[in-house]
Amino acid sequence: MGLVDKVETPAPIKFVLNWGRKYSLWVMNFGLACCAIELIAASTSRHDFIRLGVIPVAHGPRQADLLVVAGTLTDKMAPALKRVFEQIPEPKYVISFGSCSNCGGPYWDSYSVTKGVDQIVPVDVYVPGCPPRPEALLEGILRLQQEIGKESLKERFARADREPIVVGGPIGPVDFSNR
Amino acid sequence: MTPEELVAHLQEVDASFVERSDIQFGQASVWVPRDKWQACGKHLKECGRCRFDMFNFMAGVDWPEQNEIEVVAHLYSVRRQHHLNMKIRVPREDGSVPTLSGIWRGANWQERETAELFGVGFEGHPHLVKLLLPEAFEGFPLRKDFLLMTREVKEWEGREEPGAPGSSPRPGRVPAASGQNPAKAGEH
Amino acid sequence: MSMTEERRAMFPGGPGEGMELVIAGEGELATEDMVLNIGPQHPSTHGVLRVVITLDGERITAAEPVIGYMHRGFEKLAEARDYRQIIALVNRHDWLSAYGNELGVALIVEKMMALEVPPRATWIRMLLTEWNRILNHLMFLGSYGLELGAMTPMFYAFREREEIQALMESATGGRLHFTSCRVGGLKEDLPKGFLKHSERLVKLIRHRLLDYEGLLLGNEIFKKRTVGVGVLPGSFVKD
Repeated sequence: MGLVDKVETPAPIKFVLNWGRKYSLWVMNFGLACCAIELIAASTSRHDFIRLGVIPVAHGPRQADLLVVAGTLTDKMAPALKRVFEQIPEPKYVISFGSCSNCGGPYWDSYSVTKGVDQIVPVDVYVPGCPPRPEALLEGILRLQQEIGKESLKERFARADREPIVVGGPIGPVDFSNR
Repeated sequence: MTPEELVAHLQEVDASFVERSDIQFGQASVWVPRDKWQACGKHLKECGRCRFDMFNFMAGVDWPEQNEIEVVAHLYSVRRQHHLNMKIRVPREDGSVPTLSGIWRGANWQERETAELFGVGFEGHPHLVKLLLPEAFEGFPLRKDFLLMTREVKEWEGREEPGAPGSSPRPGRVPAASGQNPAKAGEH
Repeated sequence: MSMTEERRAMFPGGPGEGMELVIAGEGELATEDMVLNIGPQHPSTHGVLRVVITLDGERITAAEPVIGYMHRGFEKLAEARDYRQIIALVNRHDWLSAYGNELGVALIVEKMMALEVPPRATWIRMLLTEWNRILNHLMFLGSYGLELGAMTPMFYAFREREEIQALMESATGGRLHFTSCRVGGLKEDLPKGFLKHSERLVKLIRHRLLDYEGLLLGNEIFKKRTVGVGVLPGSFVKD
């Protein structure tokens, strides 16, 4: 990765680098259910997260930095989420939007719901609510931007391969056969 | 046609169509024997008086004490505006019902769903694979003996009636013992 | 196609290894239909629907929808909850018109119990459901345009939606999932000034609908792409 993961960038460069990264977080909408509607509402004129630099026109995971998982994740959908997450290039961030993606939410006892996307992907920001108000998403994005501003890329990339936190065991082999 | 007329009409057409019938909440239900299941469906769709052109829903009811699963086909007629429920009981192990997907196209997916959720087979169905559940799923969720594992492991406070004696005080609610504004059981 | 089987047999690693290539005869291009997966995640707002399509060039010859990516097992969950508690789950079935779902459950339970609902509650429930229907249709107009490439109706639709959602929030406390309908009536009465505000909002939205007509219905491209395309016969729909 060049020098980024070997040398701690000097403070002025780190400031500018992080400033550039945090104010241009292109978001990959992983809107699954009702929270997707509030996610879209957060991107339109009244609440508008586009003014924070978060633009929802990532044409695919390859052009995105931020993944917002909004809505209930079922066990059938989980491999698709993992695949999309892996296609996003580093450095990437995940916001878990809504209580279904935080912990299973109102479907906490269902047989087909994954109780929390943090079993599949590592989450940076949890936004609780059912559905959360768009203002809550704005706060989540602002806090994430604060964290990115302080981030050191050397530490991030020098960390061992980030495996998702697996609570209760892996969900099974991921099917890549495109069927 | 009113529910009573529907049942009478079916019995007129072929007395063996109706094993028994019931009318509840303004809807007629007929229990149809297995060998007449498809013939009855065909008649209901094509008869000018019945005209059941919409296959509304197919559900199942698990009767564990009698070791049977009851498959219910909800039919509706948009032209005549009446409902009918066609029911049939099958044994829990390896029960199967003749398919209605040749008569109503909508029955195709409904039968797939009932098959995967209850474990009922449908003979003659062109493509009986899982519809809603992932392929690796084991078990039949809507049977009464399929337990929700999270509930076995974790307690849920919502079980209690608010204000009932012995229930935990919830934020914003005054405990019944304090005597002020006692919450009655059943109040939300 | 037997020709493709021959070709497969000739390729290295295949059953009949060799490098001989069979050239399509008689000046015809040997084409094969491509099977493409419009995967469960895609930018449109349809949520998770996976369609496995067979393409002949750019024309879709067959499409098989694969569903179940949003199956949350409501029927089983309802077994563990009583009739009042499922109202909170049921409004997540059609999340754009949540009040309608709650009303459906409440009506069924009231019918079974032969419970009489006070007339005021009936009217208020109907009013809130109709506002919800407007919310749903606005979302439809906005996202329909978005899928055909028009971005502006989306923002207009959400502008209207925000105003209506503020109105609904004043009456029920929720923006999307209201959980305000109860078996036998409502959670609470309407706030003061609701009906006046409601009237004013109706006038305002009626006036703004002219914008929509101009943007969508007057648009050549929109009309060319939608008029007469994908017509479903009535008997097909009901079957």
